[in-house]
Amino acid sequence: MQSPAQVANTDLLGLIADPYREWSLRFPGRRAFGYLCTYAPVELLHAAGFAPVRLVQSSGAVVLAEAHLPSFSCALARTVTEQMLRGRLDFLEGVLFTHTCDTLQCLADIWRMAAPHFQVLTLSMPTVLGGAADRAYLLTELHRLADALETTFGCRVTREGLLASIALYNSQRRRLSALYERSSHLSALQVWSLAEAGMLMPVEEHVALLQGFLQNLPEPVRQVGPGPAVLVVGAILDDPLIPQLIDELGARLVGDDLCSGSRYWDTLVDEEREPFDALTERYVRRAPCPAKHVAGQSRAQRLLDLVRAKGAQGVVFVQLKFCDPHAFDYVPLCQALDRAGVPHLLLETDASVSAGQIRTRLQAFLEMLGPGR
Amino acid sequence: MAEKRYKKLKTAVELQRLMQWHYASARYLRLGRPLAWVTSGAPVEILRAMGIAVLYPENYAALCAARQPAPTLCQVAEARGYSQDLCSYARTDLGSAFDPAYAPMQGLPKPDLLIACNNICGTVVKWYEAMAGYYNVPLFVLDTPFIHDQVQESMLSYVAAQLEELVRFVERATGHRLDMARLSEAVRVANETTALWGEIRALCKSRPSPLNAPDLFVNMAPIVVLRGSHSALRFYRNLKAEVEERVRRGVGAIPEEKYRLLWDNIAIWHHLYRFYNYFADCDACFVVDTYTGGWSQTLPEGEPLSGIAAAYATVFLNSSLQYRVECMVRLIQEYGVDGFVMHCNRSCKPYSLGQYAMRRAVMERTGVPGLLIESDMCDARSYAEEPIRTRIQAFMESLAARA
Repeated sequence: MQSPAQVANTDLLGLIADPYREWSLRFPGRRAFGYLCTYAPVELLHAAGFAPVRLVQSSGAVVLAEAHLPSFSCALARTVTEQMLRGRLDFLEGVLFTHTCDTLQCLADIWRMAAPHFQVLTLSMPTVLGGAADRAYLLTELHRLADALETTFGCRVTREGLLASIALYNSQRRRLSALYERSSHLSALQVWSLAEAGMLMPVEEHVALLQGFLQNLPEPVRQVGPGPAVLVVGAILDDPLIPQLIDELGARLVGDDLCSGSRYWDTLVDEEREPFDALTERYVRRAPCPAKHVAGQSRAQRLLDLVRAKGAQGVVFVQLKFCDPHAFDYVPLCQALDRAGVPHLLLETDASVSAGQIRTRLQAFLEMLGPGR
Repeated sequence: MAEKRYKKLKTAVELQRLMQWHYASARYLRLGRPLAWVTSGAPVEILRAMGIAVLYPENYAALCAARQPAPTLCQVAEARGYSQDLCSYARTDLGSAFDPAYAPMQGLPKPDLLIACNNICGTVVKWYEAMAGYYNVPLFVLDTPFIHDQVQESMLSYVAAQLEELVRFVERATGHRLDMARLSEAVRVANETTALWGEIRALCKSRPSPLNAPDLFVNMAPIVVLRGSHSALRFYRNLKAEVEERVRRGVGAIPEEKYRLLWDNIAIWHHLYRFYNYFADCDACFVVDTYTGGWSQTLPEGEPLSGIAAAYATVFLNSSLQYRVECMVRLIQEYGVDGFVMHCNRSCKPYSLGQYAMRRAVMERTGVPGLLIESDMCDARSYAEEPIRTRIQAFMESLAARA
């Protein structure tokens, strides 16, 4: 008999493999709103009556997008544009681009030019966080986004509605955090797919799913192999390959620093404060993506803290080719790991890199790390 | 001989002396002034008014590319872990810092502080973080939100508030104070200089055009690195006089101007003359470009800091693709342009990722054909000579067929 956890996993992998096909049939009555970057204030989109859906990197061929993006754009930009041009995102009411990297900055305008029928909203997030004026500026921007949603879609964003959406997303983020707490006793694929699927389905359903999963979890017994404990660091991880390999090769995924992982759930919104102020604070204080500059804060220190807290024996960098902010940060992060004596591996992912190559490199790295501690 | 296609300006000697003086004085004649390394879009007027010497790593990287050692310097940075896909200005400069032995002038003198403004790209933020880590010096990042739609009052007040923070940052780092009278003077001199540069560019509306793209690219150096200084002002007065003289005498930058072209993006520094000579050989002159005009914007009158905020927050590269299409359409009309060439620059995503869409939109709006060429501003390893020549030939043949 399958355990509830395994049942959930099969369905989730199906959703993740082809998330946008028949989305509206899968989740009837929901108005989907796309976003690409986890700096998108999903609480606000939800309060405006939408189900936020993250646009993820996919593995299919890029044909139509070739006419819109040069060869040196990242696979995320290329594959989501391909999906859009093929009409697979037509179920979305609109897409919100938040300002992070140079690529997404261009992509918002490219989409506006390539698909005028598509509603593209933008949020000019500050790049420098923790400065004198960033909160005041972001607060104004969030209000402007709320106004744009209201005027474009005829919805209303009320204080009560926003507070309710904030509470809902907080409960999702708390449960994701609880899930990650148990991650060293779960399969990497299980944790990854529960987190990834959460960005592809309505939050209400995801909260129920996580709740059921966490309640039915057996007492912490190590379900997976005695291999080494590793962290995965990078931008996003939208493909099951790496968690699958970590399981297959008997290692344990004990945490991550990914926008599709812990950077999404690590900071909650203060439910006691005025909702717009609280949202502003959350998006300024959340774990930063390297496209942000946080004066006086070092991602290297944060990574070392995570390595120690999770007892990680090694770090796997999953680097999306042509992702500049992460490629820059790779150097100081490696230096910090070297100084601390923590081994690391770089896996660059791109259409040209085969699963076999990734498997061979990961296997050699895990063997080098030795047995779990 | 291809070199004959390039008509040297008399002011070239003065330009060379000025740039040599700029680099030499930053090393040897600072007279105790602290040294800041800044991005090309940083509000340098404030630094001048605070008595800070400035150097521009972007200009230095271009110089490294023109003198050829850039790929070697890039490889030095790559050996330290920086991906070959990263900006070649950043890799060249980081390489020159890591291993000055390979670098022209043995690299730049070490900075006391770093100031990056993201109005040109997000790369400068990461690049300057890397340099701040390497030199262990303070870094200030000035954040100018990207303008997808309209400029918002909130953006400008956000930038203005950061400029006040910048002043306090420089005060803390150097002990130098902002002198408001000197700031007004720096703004006045900068405005007079940028106006001259704008006028020089506008003289290229004449037929034949007195200048070609390499002239614009070489002569933009002082407007970037010495903006707000009296030496730059004097240089542009002399340059303008010489260009006016060419116009008066009907002297063109190339012997027989048959086609007038527009250039989009940063130059291919490592093949500057050779590349543009392919076009000159077909009697095509680049009469205008979207890059060197970035430094012809004047700072508004009135309270200097808010004027500086408004000017630096709204530059060409910090504005939407749609806005840039409007600019290109206007330039094509004003300069009587027959075709445009876009350098799809692997090193500059904000300038290049939207060019496919822009090319289509500009062609649709103007009926003028556009050519896209993929290369790299600094890293000659990305320059594929034969395919590029073939594409240029085909483009020039199609222009000839239209004429």
